[in-house]
Amino acid sequence: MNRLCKILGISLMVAGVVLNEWVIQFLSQGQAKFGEIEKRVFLVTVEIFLVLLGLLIFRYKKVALQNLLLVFCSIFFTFGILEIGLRYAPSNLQQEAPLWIPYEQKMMNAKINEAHNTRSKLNRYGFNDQEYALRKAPGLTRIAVLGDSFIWGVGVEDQVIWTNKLARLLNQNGVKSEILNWGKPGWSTLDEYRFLKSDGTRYDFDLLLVGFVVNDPVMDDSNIKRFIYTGGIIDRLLVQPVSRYLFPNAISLTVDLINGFFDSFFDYGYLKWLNKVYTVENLKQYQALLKEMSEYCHARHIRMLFVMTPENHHSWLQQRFEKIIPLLKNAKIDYLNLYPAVHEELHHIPNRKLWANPGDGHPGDRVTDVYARHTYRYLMDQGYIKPSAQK
Amino acid sequence: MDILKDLWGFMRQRKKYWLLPIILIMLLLGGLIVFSSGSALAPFIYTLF
Repeated sequence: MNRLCKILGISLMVAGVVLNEWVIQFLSQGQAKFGEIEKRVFLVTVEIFLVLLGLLIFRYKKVALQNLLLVFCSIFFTFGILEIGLRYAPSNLQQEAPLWIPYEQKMMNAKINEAHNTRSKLNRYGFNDQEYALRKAPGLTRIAVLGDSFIWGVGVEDQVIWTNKLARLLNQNGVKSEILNWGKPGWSTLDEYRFLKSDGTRYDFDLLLVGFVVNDPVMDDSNIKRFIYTGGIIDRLLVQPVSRYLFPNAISLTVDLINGFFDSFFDYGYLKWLNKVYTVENLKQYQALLKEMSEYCHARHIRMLFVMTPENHHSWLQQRFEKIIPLLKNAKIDYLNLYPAVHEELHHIPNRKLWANPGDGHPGDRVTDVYARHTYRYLMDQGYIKPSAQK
Repeated sequence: MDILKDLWGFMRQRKKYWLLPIILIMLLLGGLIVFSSGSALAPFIYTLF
């Protein structure tokens, strides 16, 4: 037993010393993604833990193993009690800003998105839509929509996506039409413009809608930073396996709290990223992009309309939109700001209840309903849909 | 602080160090709840795949 403990102790110490990025990549079969700080914290923690563990086992042998087992049971017991408590505690999901999202809701959201993912793999561009011919059928009004996760449908079923609702409204009201959903999660206006130039203009369409979302003006490759994120090293090696088999809610709570902590005290999180997007410098670049986009469409006789879609009725969204509207006017781009409509119709409903689903803050059914109805009315009233296209 | 001192004294005297992880986890989660502030302004609407 003593000899076995010595070998185990030395092995653990060696593992702690040689553990590096390559070993982690090897263990995770090259699929783990590293965030810089996440990687450093993870590696240092694991290395220290392994060396100390090895030392203890090497020095104290059987006693160390017994104590370690006791500590393990103690941690197991704590998370077990926490899991039971979280399962029966009243939900915090009714709050405007819930501290954490239960595992079940996260999985429900993941399931919806997985279905979209499957469909997107069949589309050559990765859009959550069928493939369309380059030429439209005679007598058909074709609208192309550039967008991001709102158009791709993150968190909602296909029939809830606002452009699909708009297509239904048009067809129900006698306008024979089809809508091409050109949207991908995470796309910015810059990504959308690049697609328009490279592939979009090969298609024949009557109107181009750009579904503008508050985070679309990002002009570089920067992304929102999360400490623990889906597909990251901590998520793959620790969170996913433990959540699946042991303490789903306790782990979900811990992950959300750790991310919340990093969002509060470090340069992490959605709001901090968004603040960078709305700096004067970035908006200057965005203005230049809008001008280029406007000229590009004008030269090709493409009629374009920016549709500004707020995910809920919070006033900060309108404040952000007000920074974009002068840029659109300056670039001579027509726009429809849906914030007033969303606020007017939904202000009596807490924003939290307007989410796509309990695990995702994208716009839900009631919000996309407002988008579709008001856009439809605007298109008809302003003559975007030609009368000849109606039956 | 007195509670923590008492707990530590209890663990030392009775050699019940296995209680330490329970207390540490509880303190950690409690601290995170206090210091993590959920934002009512922006629900997380940026999804990465």
